[in-house]
Amino acid sequence: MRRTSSLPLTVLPGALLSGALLLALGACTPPANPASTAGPTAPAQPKIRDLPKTPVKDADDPINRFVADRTVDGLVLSVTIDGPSVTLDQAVPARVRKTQRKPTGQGDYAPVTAIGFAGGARISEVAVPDSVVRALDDWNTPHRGALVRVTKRQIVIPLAAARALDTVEVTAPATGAHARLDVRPAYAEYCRAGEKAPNQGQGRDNPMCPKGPVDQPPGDQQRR
Amino acid sequence: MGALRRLLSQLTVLASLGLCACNNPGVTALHDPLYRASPHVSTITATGVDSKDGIDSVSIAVTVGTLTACNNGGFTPSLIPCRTAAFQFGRECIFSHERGPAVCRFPLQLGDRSLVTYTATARNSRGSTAKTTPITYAAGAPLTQATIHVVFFDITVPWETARPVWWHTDLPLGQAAPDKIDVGFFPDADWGTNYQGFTDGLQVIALGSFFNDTHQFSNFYRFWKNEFNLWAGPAGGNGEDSCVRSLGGAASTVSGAVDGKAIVHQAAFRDCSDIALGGLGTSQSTLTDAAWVFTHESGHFLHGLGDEYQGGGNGNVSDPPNTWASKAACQSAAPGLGLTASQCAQIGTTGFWHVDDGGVTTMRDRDLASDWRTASGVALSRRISKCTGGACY
Repeated sequence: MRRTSSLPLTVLPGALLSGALLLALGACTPPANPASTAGPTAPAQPKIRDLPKTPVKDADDPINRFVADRTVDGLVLSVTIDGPSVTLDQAVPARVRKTQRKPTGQGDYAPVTAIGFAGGARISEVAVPDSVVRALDDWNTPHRGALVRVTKRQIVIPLAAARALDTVEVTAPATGAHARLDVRPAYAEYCRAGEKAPNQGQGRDNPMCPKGPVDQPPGDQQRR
Repeated sequence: MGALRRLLSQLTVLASLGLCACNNPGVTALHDPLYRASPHVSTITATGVDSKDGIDSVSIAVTVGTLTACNNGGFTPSLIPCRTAAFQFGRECIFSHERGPAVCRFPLQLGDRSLVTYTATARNSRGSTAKTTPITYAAGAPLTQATIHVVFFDITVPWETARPVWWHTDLPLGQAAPDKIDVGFFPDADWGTNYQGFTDGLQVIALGSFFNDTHQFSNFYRFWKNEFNLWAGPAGGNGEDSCVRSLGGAASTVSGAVDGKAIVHQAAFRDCSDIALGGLGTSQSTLTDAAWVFTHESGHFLHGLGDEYQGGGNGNVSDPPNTWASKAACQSAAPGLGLTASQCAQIGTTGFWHVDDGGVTTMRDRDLASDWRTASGVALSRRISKCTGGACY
């Protein structure tokens, strides 16, 4: 028989903390409206005053300031890791979260790392959780779950990149995967459009449109 | 024991703050529906409480504009939305020393690509005020393209952003924005083109897990809801039985903006979640206890917890572990977590051990009265401590 109430005195600190917080706030819970003791009463009907609309400049909008504060230029890679091989499914330039996560874990839980390079220079690095170990839960026919280990998985990697990357090195220790991926085509759509614009070639002044051909196919997905 | 002492001292401070708060009004606010991808009336409901002095006013301040992707003078559009052409307005509900809940409702007619931010303020009869943290949400059809400014020209590209459902957008002056656990919900392929079915399912899961359920299992997430951001993603998720799941196209890109990803499905198949500190899981919204199921699955893919029942996924990467590979390891770890070593018990005949205090626990018992107990409770508390300390992961 499982107990469903009364936390033991050897209660976990976390639960104690949150429980006490709830208790402390619970102490503030207002007692029933005195009027309600005499029976149900209609909720108080307020007098309503609507405030007029005033425009907000884009530059003053707190959301835009918030996003500018929280994000940086980057590249979002979707890769399929299958045992030791890594395949680039897609790479999309996008502003990504500035705050770096620092996943931990060893063996099957070791994080996937990605290092971005441009012209041989290391530009940025990120680690993301791998997806090798999974829990299978059956909520329709109980007790048919399992601990599942997969070798083929999809990993999404948001990598900060203040300039265009040409190569991203991906390492997944859990299955011994390591590859250098050619990501130049990710920028091609934008930069090609720049070359065709009235001021032809001006787009190349942008750090996201590096000098050199941008139309090369992603044929350099080397595996080591 | 040092950790326990620290927590107890935090507890004392927080408890006193809680008691002090009794002299001030309280205020909560929530919008409904949480997210819908078509034009609709969204109602923000703010409730002020002050049983001692009574509430004189509850006001809701909103900023509504058009959702865009911004590039902040750079080149790449953002995965989280910006806003343009916004207007500020609001509503004040005036009461007279209302000692019961003082409820103020503000219905908004929202069109496509709307982005709304709101805060609610309650003022008591002594003039003291309480204010909610700003919450931002999206409504209406989503953004489908973005304009990129590249030096002397503009180009338009297909683009989707994450769609905020419950997004904390407070940016304290001169400080970095507080860190949150970002959770993204993505529609499974089994919704077909019925995106509203998915958003209705999301509503069931999110409301039950974070907002309005009254059972024990949701206590923790409800109490700490302001440490989470909730997002909806575009179509592209696909989950199937036997741990086959994927996010394709824009869903994959948008998932780069969140820590945890839940593919929400309606048809029955076995749910499968990464055991990871930020990963992907599936969750069925059509179950009567869908919010509990999501909460359990999030234990795997947000907190790295293992199942604590025989026949589940008993491995873990949580901090601290909630399962151990031997009795000795469990007994060695338990006292340091403030737990009782003698409560270490084997999970069936799995060879994995956990601390079993006899209560119903969310990583084992499919029971609305379950809770994050023993080691899993410590892991959840540590995660929240890390968030409030500045970095959730």
